[in-house]
Amino acid sequence: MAWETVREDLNIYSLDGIDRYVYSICSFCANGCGCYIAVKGNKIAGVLGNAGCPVNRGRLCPRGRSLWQANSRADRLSSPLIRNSAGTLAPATWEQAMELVVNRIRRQLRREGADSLAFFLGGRSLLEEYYTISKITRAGIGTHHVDASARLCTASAEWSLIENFGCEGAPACQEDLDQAEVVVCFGHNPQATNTILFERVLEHRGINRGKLIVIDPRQSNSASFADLSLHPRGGTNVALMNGIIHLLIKNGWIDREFIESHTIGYQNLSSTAAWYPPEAVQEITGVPAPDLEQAAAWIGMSRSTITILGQGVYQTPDATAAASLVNAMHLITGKIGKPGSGPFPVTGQPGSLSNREVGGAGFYPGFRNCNNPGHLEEIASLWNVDTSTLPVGEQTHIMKQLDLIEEGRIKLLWVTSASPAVSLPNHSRVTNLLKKVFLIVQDPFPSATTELADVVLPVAMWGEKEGTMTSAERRVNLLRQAVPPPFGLPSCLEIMLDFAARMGFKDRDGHPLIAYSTPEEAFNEWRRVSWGQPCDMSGMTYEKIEALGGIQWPCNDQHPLGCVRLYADGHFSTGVDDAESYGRDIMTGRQQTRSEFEKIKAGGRALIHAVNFQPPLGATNTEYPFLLSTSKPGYQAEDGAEATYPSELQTAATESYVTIHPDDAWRHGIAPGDLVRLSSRRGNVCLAVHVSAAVQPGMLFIPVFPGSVHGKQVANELVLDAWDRVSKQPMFKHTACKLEKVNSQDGGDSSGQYSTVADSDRQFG
Amino acid sequence: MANIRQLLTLIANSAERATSMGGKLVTLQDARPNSAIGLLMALLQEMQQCSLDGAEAAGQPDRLRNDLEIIYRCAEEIQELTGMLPRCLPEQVPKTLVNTLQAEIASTKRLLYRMATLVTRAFGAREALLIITPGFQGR
Repeated sequence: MAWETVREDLNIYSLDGIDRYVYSICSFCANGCGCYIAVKGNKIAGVLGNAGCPVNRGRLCPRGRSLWQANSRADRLSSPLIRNSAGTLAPATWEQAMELVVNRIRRQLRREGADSLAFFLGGRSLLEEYYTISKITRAGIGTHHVDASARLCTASAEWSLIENFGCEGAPACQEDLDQAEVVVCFGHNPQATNTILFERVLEHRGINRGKLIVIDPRQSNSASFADLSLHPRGGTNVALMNGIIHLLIKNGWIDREFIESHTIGYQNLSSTAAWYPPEAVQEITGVPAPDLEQAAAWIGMSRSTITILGQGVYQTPDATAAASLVNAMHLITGKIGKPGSGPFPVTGQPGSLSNREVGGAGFYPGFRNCNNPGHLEEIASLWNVDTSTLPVGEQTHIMKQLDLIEEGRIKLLWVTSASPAVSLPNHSRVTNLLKKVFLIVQDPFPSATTELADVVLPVAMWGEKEGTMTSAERRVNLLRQAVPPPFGLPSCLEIMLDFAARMGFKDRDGHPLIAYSTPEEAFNEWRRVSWGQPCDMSGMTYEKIEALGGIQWPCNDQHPLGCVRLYADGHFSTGVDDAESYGRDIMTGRQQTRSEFEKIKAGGRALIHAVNFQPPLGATNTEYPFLLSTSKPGYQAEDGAEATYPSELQTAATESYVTIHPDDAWRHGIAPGDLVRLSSRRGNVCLAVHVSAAVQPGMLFIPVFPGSVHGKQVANELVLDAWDRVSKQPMFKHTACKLEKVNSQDGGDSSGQYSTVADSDRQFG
Repeated sequence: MANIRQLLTLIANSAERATSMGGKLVTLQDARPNSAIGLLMALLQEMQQCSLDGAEAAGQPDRLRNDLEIIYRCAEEIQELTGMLPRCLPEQVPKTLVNTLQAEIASTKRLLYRMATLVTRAFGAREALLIITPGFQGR
């Protein structure tokens, strides 16, 4: 059964018709909705939903409908900028800018080596661009310091899949939403952030007479549609999942045959979960025992359950552990690899999965294990370079890169289409650190990060270049070029090709390291590199992708039309030479060695990890009694730069606010609309108050990136820059802070131009 | 010999840094079962265990090599934690915790120094260096 009902949404502004419609997908989130770009003359005039695309059947969400407006925004950057001796950014020619970049990097390599260079990639680039950066940074420059804004949204999803299944890639998919008897939205508020997916869930709940369970500390809008809402306290997801698993085992709602044939580690899980009866879980999480029992009963007694996971799981303390327990729940009930069943992480920006597939951050291309000598030799052979020149081990995550900048070990940072000055936690520290390095920023628009840059390279954006992207359900889709970029701007791929040519990167036979010159040629090389890997795209071509409305990997001789869901045969990528990683200790985050992994003898069986609840870092105390959570409303995305894109969305998010429970408001004598000062150990901000029982007492909520970034973005001024031990994803949803009422003269003005006040006794940054 | 000793000293110093950070920044309240200090302890104890195992495995190069890799990876995590923790925890000194940490670090250092000799004897200085140098693991 697929999603058959069609609704063609459109948002087109043209008085005298449209010249042509160009095949593409929306590039705002990882849902991958198909659309056609409407072109009039050489301008994008709107967007039309693609009724043939199985993901959305023509529907577009408010973000997707307005995305195209960004292309014609008046403040697009038209030429490179170079910081001059007076300290201001001045227009320059492409020749001047690229020469400066190349000379600076050459000098850096000569004087301080490859590890003094770092790259931070955005989430909106195309697979071909990420692949090229991956190849240049590893085989050309040889640096370990490459990460992406995927770290902020999908790292815990990636790691939880690796820890349990040996390799990433969502086991379930969109089609499973149509068939599931029980849909669990865990830490995900799709009514606001993924409306197309939520529409599909609601439509099929009606048809299947299924149940919707929403797990979220807030009474979100999605929760109001749920048959059952659980509101655990922040940072207690591990206890909650142990409680559900306890009940599933106790009531015999498990699949013993699947457990015995396809998993390893069940006994430990069973022993650990035994310590989490509903009453104990209620004490830790605040979720009433009967509600927990009801949730477990629905999941346990259903024939199919799908769990949609969002940032409420992935941006919290113990994120990987909690997500791993969700995977374990599916494994012990045998609800994986079957229609309507499986864990389904839907986080991330549109390019996140593409980036990880091609090794733009984290591992080597094709999910090759960067600690496995055999995998290194394989990729060296494919790239025709010496194995000894390739960096070994995982790449340096962005939070560690910041530490290395602080220590003076990283001297140059190249940012592509992201705004780390906005999107990373502990804003003031990040801003100060970005000032310490030679900063190269590629972006179509001025941003808080370009303001700090030494060189700004404007780039083409969506609709102005060609390439592919992979959505959260592993669907690779094609984005055709609809119009030429304004001002003759190059794409990210073209900048990288130019850079590689100027640097003179060669393979071991003395031929250019990057031998292709178009996106399709890059994709064809990638197809060869991906052959035989879990994300095998060797059977895909641009034409085939367009004809089928996207293809889910693996796509090869065995699966010529792609593969709808993974693990249908109960075989997982946990062989020593199949695994993407040898894994990390789920408590300490310490990497396991090959020998340790071998000793597990998983051999194709899924790994189940037992995890105990631990009180999280950043706990509240008498000085900082509130727990701050952040999230994105419908008009925002994880990458701060994105929030500034379409003008229609900018006007939807002009001011920020803090949501506070009525009891807390009463106790502090605060009325709706009052200004309050929120302080954490990192900084403080002034915001207007929104009083609502949607948040729990003792909890505060702020949107992540409200409106324009300049002077108004606040959440990351406060947010704790600590991260999950395994995935290294920052925990945006768990910051201890305090609150006090202020007069408008003290902290903010009435125009909505809220000021951020640096903490005078800030110790770090 | 000098090089391997330097590297092990570096590892031990990371752990020592953790101790001093912990002393400055942890309250008893925050040091409840979890906290990050608990993670540090766990990592230090794992290093110690590997050092002891390593001593037993002197005649088994593969086992010794694996123990070394674990020690190195523990040190990586400790180093990362010591960078992160100062920003996470409030400033108060829980003396009992500091004392425990200092005892742990003293043991760790002692065991690691002893291991340095074993490693060099088992592999020779050059290979020993390669085994635990970042970028050479897995080759």
